[in-house]
Amino acid sequence: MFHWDLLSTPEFAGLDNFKQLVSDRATIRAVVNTFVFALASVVTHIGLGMLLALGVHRTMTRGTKYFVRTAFFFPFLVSWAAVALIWKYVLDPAFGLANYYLSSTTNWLASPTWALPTLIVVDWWHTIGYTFIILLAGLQTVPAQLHEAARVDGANAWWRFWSVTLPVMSPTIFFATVITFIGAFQIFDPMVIMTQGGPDGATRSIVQYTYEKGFQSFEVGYAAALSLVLFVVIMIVTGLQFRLGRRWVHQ
Amino acid sequence: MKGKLLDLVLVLSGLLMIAPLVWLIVTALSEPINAFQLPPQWIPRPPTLQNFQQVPDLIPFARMAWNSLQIAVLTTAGALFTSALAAYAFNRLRFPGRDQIFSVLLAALVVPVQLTVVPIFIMMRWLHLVDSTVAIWLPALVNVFGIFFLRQYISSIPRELDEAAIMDGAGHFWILFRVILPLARPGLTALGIFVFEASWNNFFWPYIFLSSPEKMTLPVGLVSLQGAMGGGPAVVLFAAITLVVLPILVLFLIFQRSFIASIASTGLRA
Amino acid sequence: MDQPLLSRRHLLQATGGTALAAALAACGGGGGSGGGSSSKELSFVYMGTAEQQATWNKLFAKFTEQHPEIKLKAEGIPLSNWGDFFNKLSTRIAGGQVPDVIQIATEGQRLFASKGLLAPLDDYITKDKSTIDEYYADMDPNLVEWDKKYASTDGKTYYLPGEFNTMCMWYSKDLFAKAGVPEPTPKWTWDDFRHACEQIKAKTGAFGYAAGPEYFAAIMPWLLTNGTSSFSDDWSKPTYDDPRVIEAADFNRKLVADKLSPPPGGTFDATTAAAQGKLAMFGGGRWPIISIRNLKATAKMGIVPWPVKVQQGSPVGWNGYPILKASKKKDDAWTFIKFLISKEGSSFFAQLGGTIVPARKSVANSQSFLEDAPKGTEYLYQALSYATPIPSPDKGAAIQKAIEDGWKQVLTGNAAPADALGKAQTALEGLV
Repeated sequence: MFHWDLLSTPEFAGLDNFKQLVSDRATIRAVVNTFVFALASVVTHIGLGMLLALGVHRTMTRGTKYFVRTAFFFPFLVSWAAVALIWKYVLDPAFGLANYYLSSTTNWLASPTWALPTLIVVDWWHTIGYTFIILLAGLQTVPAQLHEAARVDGANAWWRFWSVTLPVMSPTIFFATVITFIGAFQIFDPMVIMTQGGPDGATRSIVQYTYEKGFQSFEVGYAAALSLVLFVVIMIVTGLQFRLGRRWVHQ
Repeated sequence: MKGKLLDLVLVLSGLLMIAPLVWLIVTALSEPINAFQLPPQWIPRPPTLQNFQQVPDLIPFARMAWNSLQIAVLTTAGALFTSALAAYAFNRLRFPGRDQIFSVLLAALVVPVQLTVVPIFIMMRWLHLVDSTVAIWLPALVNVFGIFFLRQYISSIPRELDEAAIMDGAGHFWILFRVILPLARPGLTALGIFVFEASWNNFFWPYIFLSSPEKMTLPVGLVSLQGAMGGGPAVVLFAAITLVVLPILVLFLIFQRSFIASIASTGLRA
Repeated sequence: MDQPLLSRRHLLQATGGTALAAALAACGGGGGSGGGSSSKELSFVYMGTAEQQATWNKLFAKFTEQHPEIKLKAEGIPLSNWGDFFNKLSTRIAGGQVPDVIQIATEGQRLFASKGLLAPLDDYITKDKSTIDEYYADMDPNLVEWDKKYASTDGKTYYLPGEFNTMCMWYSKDLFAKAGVPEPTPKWTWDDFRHACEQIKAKTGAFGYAAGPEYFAAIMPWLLTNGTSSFSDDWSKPTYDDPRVIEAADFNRKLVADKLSPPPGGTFDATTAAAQGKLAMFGGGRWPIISIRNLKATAKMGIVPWPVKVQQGSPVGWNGYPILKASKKKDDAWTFIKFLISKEGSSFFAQLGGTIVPARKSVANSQSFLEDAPKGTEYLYQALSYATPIPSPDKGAAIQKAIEDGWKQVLTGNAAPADALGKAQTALEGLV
């Protein structure tokens, strides 16, 4: 609620910062980007993570299980600083591995269409291991007798999944959703390291924008207003999730 | 048959997942002139350790590894201790404003560290702790996620156990350390691994606070290797990244079972 | 211009940022009051990797030998970009550790001087007139001139200028030979350059040049050789929508569009690509030498001045050595600075892992600087005669980002040159 550049005396600004915020297109862009990123992140993490967990949960050889579980979990242990550096080489449009194997010339990180989806994929690669392991554990808590009973009642695989597996697993799925959402909404590192928010703001997230405003152009009051908004949004969405969660999470 | 096919798909996607990391290591083992070829090389021919040998010429690697380890251990031990105490208080004790304080804490969970760095920096200056490893582990001793997580965990431990202990005349500390924590061991392990991993890989915080080379942590040193004027060759950077990634991967392979079990438990209990 | 090297610069500036540093330095109470190194040692902070450390240490040993009465405590921070270095330095000053002497590049000189952190050197210079005159006589007069003009806002002298970097074009002799294109001459033009790229692409399939969005290494050389710049002469007004800037950006865009340059967006190692025969040219100062030596390719490379459209041009950035106002050992500090700029001191910079050009002409032309380096290394020093100091207004990190973002939009073809640069210009106007 102040105009302040960190150096001089703060000046009371009333609601100016908030008014500016509503009319600032870059802010709106960053909010949209962050929501898109967070939603895509939740959907791909939970959806594909669930598929993976189901795949691995089936009886298969221990070696295969061990390998798949390890392979998917590994990237989670690598710091973002390293992940981003490796991927910038992999995704280089001319000399990168990705385009070589895909026989493509797409400029993944510099194209306004592809930059955000690419970051979603890299983020998925980095954190899916965690979601996957949680979901796999959830899956293992579903008692086999329940499945048997449903099978005896003539339920097909899909119906068994829908009426037995999902309800029993719902607390786990709920937890994974909340954690993924909070993490995705605060996303900062890959944008800063890989695209600097570009091209033309196409990948700028709210936290990153706040950081730029506060620590690069010294509009601390504005940055504070932004972070307040971020905070309120996360609280509301998390609150909503808990609300909804109460309805469908099996106690 | 269908099962086999699915296995194959899973294994192939697993290979795809680790391909970038394999490529990292292969590149680090290649001679500079043979690195970054297209089609990509998946076996370094001939393999060489020269890039690794150059890493300590560029940064005091051993010193940085020691700093990272020291900070990670202190942070992990401290965070486990404070989280256990706070979690116990928030779950088992009754005091006025307990739930209100807890929801304020929960709110703190969603505040990104990028926004708290300046106030903490100013505090550290007051304490003359800027550019010391203390500045890194001290604020990390209290871990909000840890409190939240252990509280959930502890709440799943039946209260009848504490009541029995109280009957025997036990105090809170005795209950916490002798009854609750032993039962919460998987939760503690999971949290410990998390905090350790986060601390080992933490970049932003040490980057802001540490300026002397002999106090830097590995991720900061890693990034300092890559500068425009006087940075090392790219293959050496790849070797350095490998040196940072490898220990944690090896640790993971050794402790895989308890590691995965612990992480899995986070989803089940919370 | 080494792609990975410079994109790393972004990483650092985006995450840390000189701006933050400046703010922190300022909240460090001007770095003044309680400061000063309380110990008996003279403390010197500079930017240096561990690799360079060995050479620095020899230099310090020499100093101690000559001045046993001064205890020197030198600390090299192993970073390789200035934004990050200033950040660290300011963090340290804000944290109450004030060194006596520091090494500061052009990008931060005016900022540090204007924050009142430094002591003027004028009295010392008058006192040691003969030493300084000898030093200045062995140096391109431009360096002395620029040091007065850009590194101070109040007419006082705060820095003695030292080693520097300019921009030249590095090229692969092999690829030029393979394509049957004569090697470039010092007076070549943009057209010659474009023609060489086309020939090389057609005959060998290799890329001609690595166009990039780096302010110092890939934008400024094109602007300056086209007779324009990013800012007005006194750095007060951005001129980023000047028609000649747009022309330069368009020229670069065409290189990318016609596949004569790999598109920017990812990271690749330009020195490796050149040594492997996949890239014919990249821009650079002295710094690619480390990678080129590591690749054992010094004999395969050549260096020429940047191709010209309107006039010869190159950006330049140099190191300055100021004494901190809070220092309690200003006389010792001055003795140390004098040692650094002495012939003996400067010759060490020739051996410093080779990332920078020594300020003394006699040293830059010496064997120790020119051996195991590509043919044409002397052009880096000669560029001083026509170079322009890199425009570095106060909000350095934000300004650099605006300039580079706009250029990147043009290179990738996401926006028309006039639109993208016009937008960047508006952003820059808001920053100064």
